[in-house]
Amino acid sequence: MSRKTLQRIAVGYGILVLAAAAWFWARQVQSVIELLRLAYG
Amino acid sequence: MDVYFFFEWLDNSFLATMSKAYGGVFAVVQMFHLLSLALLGGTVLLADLRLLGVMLRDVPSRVVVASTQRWFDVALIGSLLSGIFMSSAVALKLYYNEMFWAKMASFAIGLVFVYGIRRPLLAFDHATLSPWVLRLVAVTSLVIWFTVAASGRWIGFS
Repeated sequence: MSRKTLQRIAVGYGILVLAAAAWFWARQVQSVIELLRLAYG
Repeated sequence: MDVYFFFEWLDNSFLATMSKAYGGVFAVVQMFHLLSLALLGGTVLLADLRLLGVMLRDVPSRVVVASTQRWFDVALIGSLLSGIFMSSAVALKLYYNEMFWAKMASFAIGLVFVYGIRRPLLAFDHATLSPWVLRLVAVTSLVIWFTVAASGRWIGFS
């Protein structure tokens, strides 16, 4: 595969992964906050 | 595709018998799992922080990346083998654990990224690659392996 194509794939994959990770960790932190609210009000 | 049959098989396998019956064996394998994770994390940090220009600036990034690749492979095989053994002890419990699947998904994403994109890309002369692409590759790698490690740790709390 050419250098240019690989760079494009890397950028696309990277953006997708970073967006998915941001969504995933936001969801986890939110669930912890909800749990703490339930426990401590 | 339902993979429950695999977890059922693992739960009844020789590995499960060993891991459940001999606490000492489990502890030794767990030690190798943690050592492998430390090695894997170390190689990822070294290579990616070099790509970001945070450390080892006096060493060419290509040298740092090439030196860490072999150890990354060793750590990956070590963590995979020890992980399969450890999961055999609680195979059915893991099947119903959401964070376990998050870890496996991020692990698969990491494998595709490392062997399908990162490694072929970094085989080119780094000077010919866009510095922003190099930085994005490093950040993506750090985020993926952080997610693998943190979701693995989270299994214990969920």
